[in-house]
Amino acid sequence: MTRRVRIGICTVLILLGTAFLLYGIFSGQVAGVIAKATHICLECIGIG
Amino acid sequence: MSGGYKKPAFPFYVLGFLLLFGLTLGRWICGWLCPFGWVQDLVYRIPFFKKLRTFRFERYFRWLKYAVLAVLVIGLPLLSAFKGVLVPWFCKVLCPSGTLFGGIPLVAANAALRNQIGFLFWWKVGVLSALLLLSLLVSRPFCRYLCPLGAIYGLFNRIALVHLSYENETCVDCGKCVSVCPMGIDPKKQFDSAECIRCGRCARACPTDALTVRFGLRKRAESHKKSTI
Ligand code: SF4
Ligand code: SF4
Repeated sequence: MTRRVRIGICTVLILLGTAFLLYGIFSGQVAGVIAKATHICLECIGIG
Repeated sequence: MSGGYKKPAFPFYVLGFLLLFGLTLGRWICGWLCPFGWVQDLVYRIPFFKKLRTFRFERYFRWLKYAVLAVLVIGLPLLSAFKGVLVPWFCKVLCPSGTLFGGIPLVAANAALRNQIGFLFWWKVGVLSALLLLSLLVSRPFCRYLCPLGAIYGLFNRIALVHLSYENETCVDCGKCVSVCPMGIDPKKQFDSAECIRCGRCARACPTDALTVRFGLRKRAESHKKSTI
């Protein structure tokens, strides 16, 4: 992979990642992720 | 978890997070941040068992993690979401980290939870035990063969800012790097492999500094070196 291709892919993905992250934040998805991270998920620990 | 979001939505936030972390760190996260990776490293250090760097057909087992990603992380959860429930299939049936750091301590400390355990709990304890036993012989078997997060971050290794640099000119072919690699790869040939967890052990073992873990854009010459996956 040439340096130019590598930098091109990185740039596109950084822009895409930033756009996804910002859209996720402004559409209220952070609360869902935090709720999942802070509540005991019975399925995740093999009980549910 | 079946609760949480009411209506399944495209996970923009999580994907954005994964993309940015993958682009910055790649599988360095596996080498330095994953608690279950650390547990496997500790178990592998127990002496008395013959250690296997690799074995016949091992490379085919490494593809399993992509199957886990496709089926348990993407396919089945999507199917469940279309039916209106959110089921984290990977966490539910496979993830040993949840069992070790969440399930077992909680069940041990809470009598009410102890009354609720059933087949699923014992299945997950079995998966965890099998992986820990395998870790006595093979370094990081979960990271090599099953971890879907490792599979995702591995895809970024070729372009991530954290990378392994190899200088052919200074290498004296002593083979020390190969013997210390916990992922059973050849750092000289596979420095950009999706299997490399950027742990830096090869770099520390190298007597001539031919290998180094670096952060930043690759040098022009490095970009043209070929790495076999
Ligand atoms: S190639 Fe080096 S940095 Fe990568 S996993 Fe092996 S020892 Fe660690
Ligand atoms: S440890 Fe260094 S000098 Fe020895 S084979 Fe590996 S890269 Fe070459």
